[in-house]
Amino acid sequence: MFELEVRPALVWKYMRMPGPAAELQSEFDAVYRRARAALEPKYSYKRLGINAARGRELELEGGVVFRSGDLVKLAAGAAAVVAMAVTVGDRIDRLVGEFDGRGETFAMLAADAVGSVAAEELVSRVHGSIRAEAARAGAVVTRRLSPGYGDFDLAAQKLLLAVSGGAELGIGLTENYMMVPRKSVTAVAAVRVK
Amino acid sequence: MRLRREQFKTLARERVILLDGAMGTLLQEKGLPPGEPPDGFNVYNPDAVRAAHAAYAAAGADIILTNTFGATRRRLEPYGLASRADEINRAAVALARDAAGGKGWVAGDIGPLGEYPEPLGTVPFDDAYREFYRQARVLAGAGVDLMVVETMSDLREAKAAVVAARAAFEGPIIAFMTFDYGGRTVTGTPPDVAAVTLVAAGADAVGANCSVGARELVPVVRAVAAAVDVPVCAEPNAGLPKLVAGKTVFKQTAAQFASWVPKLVAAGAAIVGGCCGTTPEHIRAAAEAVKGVKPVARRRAERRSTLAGRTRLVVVDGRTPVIVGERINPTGRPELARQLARGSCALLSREAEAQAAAGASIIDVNVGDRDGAAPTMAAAVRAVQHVADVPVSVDSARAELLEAGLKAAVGKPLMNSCPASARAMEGLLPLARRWGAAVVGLALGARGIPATAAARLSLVEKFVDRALDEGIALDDIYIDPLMLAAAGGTAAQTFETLREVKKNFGVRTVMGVSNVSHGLPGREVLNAAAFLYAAGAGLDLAIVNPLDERIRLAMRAASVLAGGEREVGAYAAAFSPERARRRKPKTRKATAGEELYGAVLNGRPESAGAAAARALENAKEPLALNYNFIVPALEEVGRRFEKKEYYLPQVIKAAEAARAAFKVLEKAIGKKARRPAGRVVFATVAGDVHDIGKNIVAAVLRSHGFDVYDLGKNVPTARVVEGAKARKADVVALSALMTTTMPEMGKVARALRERGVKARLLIGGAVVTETYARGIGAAYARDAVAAARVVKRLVRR
Repeated sequence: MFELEVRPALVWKYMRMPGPAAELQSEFDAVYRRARAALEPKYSYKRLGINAARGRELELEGGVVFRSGDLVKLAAGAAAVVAMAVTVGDRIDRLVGEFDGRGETFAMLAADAVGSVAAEELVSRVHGSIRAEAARAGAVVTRRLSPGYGDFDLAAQKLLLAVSGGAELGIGLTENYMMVPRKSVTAVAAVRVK
Repeated sequence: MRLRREQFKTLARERVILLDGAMGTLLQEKGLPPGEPPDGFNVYNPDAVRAAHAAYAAAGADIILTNTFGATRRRLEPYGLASRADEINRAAVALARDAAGGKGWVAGDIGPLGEYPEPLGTVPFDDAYREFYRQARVLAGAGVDLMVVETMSDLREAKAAVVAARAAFEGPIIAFMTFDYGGRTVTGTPPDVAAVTLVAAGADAVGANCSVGARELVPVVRAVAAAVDVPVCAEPNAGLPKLVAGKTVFKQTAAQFASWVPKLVAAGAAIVGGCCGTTPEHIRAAAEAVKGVKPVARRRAERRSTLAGRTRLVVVDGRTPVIVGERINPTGRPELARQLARGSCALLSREAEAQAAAGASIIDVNVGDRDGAAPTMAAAVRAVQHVADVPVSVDSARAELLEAGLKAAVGKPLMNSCPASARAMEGLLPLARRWGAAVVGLALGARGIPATAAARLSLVEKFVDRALDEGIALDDIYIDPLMLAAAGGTAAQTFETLREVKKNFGVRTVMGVSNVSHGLPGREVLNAAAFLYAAGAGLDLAIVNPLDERIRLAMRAASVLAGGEREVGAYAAAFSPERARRRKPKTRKATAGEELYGAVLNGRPESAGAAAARALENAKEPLALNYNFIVPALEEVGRRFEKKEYYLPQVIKAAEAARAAFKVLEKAIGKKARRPAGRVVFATVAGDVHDIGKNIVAAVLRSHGFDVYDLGKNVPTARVVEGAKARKADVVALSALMTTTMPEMGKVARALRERGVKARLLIGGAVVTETYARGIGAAYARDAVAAARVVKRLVRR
């Protein structure tokens, strides 16, 4: 597992603050420590060969089909895609709820931001590791695309969780395709041979 | 032959110079896959890049920008191209040169890193500088005629890029920042501050690109033109972006775009091009539009010097002294010295805030010249600018501390100071030039401070000559004649030096006024007298204690003596009986009500509760504490939020503080006796489990005195309707984060109407727009502060 680096400067940014606020620093530090301890990072990814691309459909090995013109474009010239899923667990969600329940809104916001930064950091680290692995094999991995962006419909979440191994990490979906735990990310990137 | 800086500026005074237009979209038409870096095409598909450049050259662009907007190693790294960054940059110059065909100039293009430098972002400033320097050095080595730094939204990043480009390249540099609809960068910097800072850092032309269309850029160009003397540049998008089927498109035609170009020129632009959405057709039409159009002549009636913070410009116009707060200095202040030694900026931050509030336009930062204090200086400068957002005067005798402070400063700082000895000038003046600072020269030579004015003036002459040779502008040179303790009998020589410097050298002056009273009783009296004496002798910057009441009175008096009717009016108003009643004497302890106001404004819940309890002891009408102190504090918080002086966490802390105070008031008057500002039922719609935004808005509304009933997240429509009826809601507030759950808001709106619920509907959330809200008959608020304002309006109706 990666040693997650949750940069406080980035947490402030997620709190919509351009930089650390001196007068709030000590309270921030206390929440940061608790939120950091609540993180339970887990990830999973799988490489899937591309069988065919037809219009807005990308057919992967095993008959898996994603419908997204943006994904087809991303995978142009690629031999495979990597489906990835990460989560930092539900303890951080519970901590956020606990702060909210006590009316500690600043602490709620800070803990939520720690979760967001951690999930983003985790998916970047996983993506980076996939890239490094591919580079050793002479391949290039593109940027990642997540459901909900461009024309990659959120409904693809279910299939993506299944093929990436995200479901086995304990990531579930609401009927509107929101992930639970909330601080989870799924994405697809394409693998091109140089 | 290379284009020289002065030659370029002269050309830009004689005719409008045309830049090229957008690159990425042209390359996508030629096969660049979405998500891939356009810069990689310089080596993978050079013909496509050359053809795009050639199209712009044929359209009439005088300057072709290399295809290197994202070609720093940092930006290429995610694509596995970092190791090829130099090759990509070199290839880009060759391709642009090929396409220009000897007719136009080639500009090396440098874009942002994609992540801000610290403290707004996470990239260490030195790393950002190194990235930019490396790219600029390669572009310069490959033979560009100019360098362009563009699309910067953080002033510190823009400065790092310009300083790095200046270090790597001797030719002209054009620097663009990007301003949003309100005419500021997303980090709050206005155009005049950006322009002043980047010119000081070494840019030869400054202006705005991207984000908005030409219509929105006209006032930005006007503001830049008024702030600096160098040529002004503008690269608007092809109108405002529109979201069509999930994609950003620009719909302004070439003719529409070109119709705005003469207006940009009339506003002061001399260098014009296109950004997102523009094509060779747009540039061709712009070339036609500027045929025979000359840049407007820009002459300023009077000279002025400037310093800047992130958002604040300080103009030194020589009328009355500008106040520099002197209190951040550990000499004789053991507690401050102790805190600085252990790296704490707590006291220093409070001092900075208090001095700025008392009228200091600039804050002097001196952390003591200890070994290894450079990181402390950097931290102190950051802390001061975080709480006060004023320009800083970086005060040290040591090069490493000065450089650390100048690097950490946002905007255009003052380097305080450099003695007039050959060795000091050789070591220190390049720092001021390099980091875009104005500089203080001391009337102090290798043998100390001369006793006579004549000898001091001889040192001043040497200093001014050397500073000008270094490339520091005359307006950026400040001379300190050095006030010594009056007890030594040298004050007259100092004032004589001040008068002569002002008369003969055309520079600005600065002085630490309080030194005059060392060793004498009645220091405040002597300081105030010396301040007025120096003001009369031509002092531009007075380093004083702005918290000293006598100095404040002297400042007011000086402004009347040097000013016109307006200053007289302001002076009279300051002493009016009504104002005198309201004015808080320095010695008076703040009332509990004032403490309550301050505790809410500064987001301190515990102090707010305690202050509310104290205020209740003497309050005839407890609720009046709410109207007189809590509500005004929250309104001030809202104003500061709108002005980007406060951000979401500070709004939240203010809300927490107001709630703490309310709890105390409620106890005193009984919950039932309290009349709420209104009843609001909150819910995150069915299917949506995100409730952070809703919880924040609810907390802020509670702090404004509303009764809030939070139904939670993932709330079915029927429960929202029931909740609204049961609670007799004035307003139902809904949030949704996802496009898939947003339609639930429409369902709730319909259900409320069908069930005859009279409550007004307010909606918000990441994906929600004002247009959508109008479509379902709801009000919209983009953030918590706006929500408080909108709910108050809805309840009044």
